[in-house]
Amino acid sequence: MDVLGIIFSALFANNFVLAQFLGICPFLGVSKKPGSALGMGLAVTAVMVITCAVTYPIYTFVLLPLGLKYLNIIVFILVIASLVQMLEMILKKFTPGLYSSLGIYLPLVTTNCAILGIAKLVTAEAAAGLANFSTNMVVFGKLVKINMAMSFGEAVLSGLFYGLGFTLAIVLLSGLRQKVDRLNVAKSLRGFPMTMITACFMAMAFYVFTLIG
Amino acid sequence: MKKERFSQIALDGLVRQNPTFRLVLGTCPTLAITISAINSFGMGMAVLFVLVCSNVIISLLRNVIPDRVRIPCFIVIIATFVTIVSMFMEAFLPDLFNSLGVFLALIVVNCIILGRAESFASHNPVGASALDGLFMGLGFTVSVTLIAIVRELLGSASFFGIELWDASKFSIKFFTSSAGAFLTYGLFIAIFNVCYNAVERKLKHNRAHKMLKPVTAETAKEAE
Amino acid sequence: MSKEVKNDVVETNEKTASAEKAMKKGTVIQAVKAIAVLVIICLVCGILLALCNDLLYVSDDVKFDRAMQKIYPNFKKADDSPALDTANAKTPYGEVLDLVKSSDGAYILTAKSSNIGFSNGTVTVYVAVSGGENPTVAGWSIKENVGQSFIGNISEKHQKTWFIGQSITVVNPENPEGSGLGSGATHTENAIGYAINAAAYYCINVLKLVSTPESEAKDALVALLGTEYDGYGFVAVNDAEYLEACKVGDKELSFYFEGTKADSDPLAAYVYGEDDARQIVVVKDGITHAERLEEAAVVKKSEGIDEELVAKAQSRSYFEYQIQKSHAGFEFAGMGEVNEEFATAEKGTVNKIYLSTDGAIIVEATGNGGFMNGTVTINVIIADREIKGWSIVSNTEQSYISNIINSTQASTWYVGSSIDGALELGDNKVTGTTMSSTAINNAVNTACYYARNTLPQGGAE
Repeated sequence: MDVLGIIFSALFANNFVLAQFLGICPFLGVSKKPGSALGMGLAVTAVMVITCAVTYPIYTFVLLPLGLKYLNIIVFILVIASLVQMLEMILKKFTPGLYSSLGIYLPLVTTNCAILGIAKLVTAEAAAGLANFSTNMVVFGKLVKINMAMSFGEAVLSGLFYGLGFTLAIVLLSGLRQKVDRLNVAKSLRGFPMTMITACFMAMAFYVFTLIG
Repeated sequence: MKKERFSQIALDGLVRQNPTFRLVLGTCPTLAITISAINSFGMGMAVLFVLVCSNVIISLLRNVIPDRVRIPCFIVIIATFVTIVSMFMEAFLPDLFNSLGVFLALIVVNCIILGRAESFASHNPVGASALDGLFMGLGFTVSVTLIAIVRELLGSASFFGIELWDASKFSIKFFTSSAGAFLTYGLFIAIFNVCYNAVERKLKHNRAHKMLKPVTAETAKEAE
Repeated sequence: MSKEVKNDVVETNEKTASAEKAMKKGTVIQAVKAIAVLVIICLVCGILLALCNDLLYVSDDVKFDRAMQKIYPNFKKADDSPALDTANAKTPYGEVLDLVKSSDGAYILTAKSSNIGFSNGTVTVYVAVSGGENPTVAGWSIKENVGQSFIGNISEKHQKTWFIGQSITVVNPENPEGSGLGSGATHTENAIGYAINAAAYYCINVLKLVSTPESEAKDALVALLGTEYDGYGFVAVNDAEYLEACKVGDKELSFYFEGTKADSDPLAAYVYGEDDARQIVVVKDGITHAERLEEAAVVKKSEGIDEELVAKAQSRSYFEYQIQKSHAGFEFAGMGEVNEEFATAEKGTVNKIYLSTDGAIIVEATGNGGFMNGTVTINVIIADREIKGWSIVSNTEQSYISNIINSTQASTWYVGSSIDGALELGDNKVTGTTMSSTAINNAVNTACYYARNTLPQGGAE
């Protein structure tokens, strides 16, 4: 798969948040201010890259050869949880400045399904021994060609750009919310409903990217 | 007392702390799978199973698990049940398994489950925890199925997979898209809020009324 | 979020704080205990999962069968499933990528259409072809596509109705009747049709699931020619009148094929009789060069063939026959010189001019802009500044040209039109061959342009 293809699909066409519904909780929860949104986005990106770099070899070189494919969920989530902990400790120790700005988001990253999602995504192709026949996935009722990474480099690259796609979406939303949250709307629409409606328009805009290429 | 506790847990799970509409937890699967009612129901059942089982186990082990390694332990237990569910589905319900896709595995990081383990099961007895899991799961199932019914009806002109009319004649494709998911979910929360607030106001009003009445009656008696 | 959750977070923080205090006291035992509990939980969970996995394991074979059963419900992979014949996997309609055989004799093929879809994209489909005497399309589903933005219009319902039950010998690349699809997906539908035809073509020609008299005749012809003529694409010309005209005594011409190959002279093949009594003559130069008809070289002929048949094949070319049909008075007078000044037009070139004794001419022109950027070369008969008829000489890359050759409607195109204006095909075209028709139209216009500028004004009186 070409690099440009990964970048485009990760950032726009298959944007994790707006097209694949992964990582919605932080997307809605930590998007009040652009600053914190950027922090969250970067934290997620960092963890995604490391997760891809770690889970891909674990899956391909340990779980698959040993026939322990069924342990993948447990292993992935443990790896992610301990990675986040470690990252937190390292940041705290060596770059306290960065820690104070990013660190508070790190614990939230563990339960961000985008991370487990990317781990499952980059290992999916490795699992598909019957590449020709079994990767035909019907996702959300329509045929979506899921771009699956096939090598270590592509896995890491996917992690990076899906993370950046997440950052893009959450920063954009936080910018919009600066205005939207101040609107005088019906009481029952305030908060989550209004944020969702904003996200709806963003999703519509991003949908256009799927028509390109 | 026991009955009161039961109804309290049930009300919490289904209405007061409805995970989908009140707490807005587990949004990823909610948005993704509500494209079809069958998928949503299947997902809801899977979450229900995982919730009940993990709540029971965590509640049983609540005095054994040290505080420091609490979260990893919970996650491992949840992940085990999620794996069991996905194995079961793959073996017996392959269609559902394929259409839920990655979201089945993502039950592990569904905030509802970890949230309940953390805030309820880890300091409540087994029975209450199981009930809590059951009603939280039911609350989730009912909510996602409701959203899915609306989206499926408008988007693909069918009801639980049964075609109601010719989709090519009338269907709003928008509701099957990701944008439609956001809009439907957002509006559902708003509608739920309106109803919830209205009912709560009424109940408060009634309660205030009830509290007033006996007092006046007593005072009346005293006065007599 | 609700208050309770917030409270929980506070509580959690307190817990961690107290836990940290405890750790500071240096109680190693507690740390060990924590790790031990975690390890035990992990172990127990691992064992539990291993047990479940033993009970519920779904093997890759079963998964494969299941995936295939979506397309063909009775699928079970056969032990003698053949490998793909990669040398013959390319068909005029697209390419077959993979195939697998079911134990009940059915096949499931993965076929990719040629670049005829929307914005020159492709569609790859799985096609199930039932076994038995008369193989039919038993099911299909879309695997993937390139650039087909409106593939979403092709619903599951369509995948359950289109082409289903059609014999693989008659599958038509054109849109299935009454598809009722919304606009915008026409090209995608075409691509799907092509992919299914590619699968059908492979089943007929490589797997030999079915043999039609035509495919048998073609096989015999290819066998006769041998490997040195590999790569010729033979298209049967279904012109009953011509078949009748080539009759010799009681020996009927059963098939007439025209064979073309890039950078090679076209061949004409006459197949008389059937089965053991089959006699074949393959003629070169018999198609275009009317002036040397008697010299048309016989390339190959069946052993023990009647010399009468050979003579007939040499003397009665389809070209001549068609000219006679459309312009009975055409008497060949020699080759004209091509006037280079007008030989190249915007969308085509003029190659040859045939002259007649009565002033009519035949212009052989090549038109560009066909399917896959290919070309079509045609002869246009012009007399009295009017088109009297036309016929196809050769083509490159035009997979669907046979639809036009076989169409009775196509022979009436342009006939009677004046050469003085630009000609357009309008709605009167053969569906599914838009690109080839465009090339033909370009060629006709090129011929007209040439004739307009070289013929004397006021006709040939």
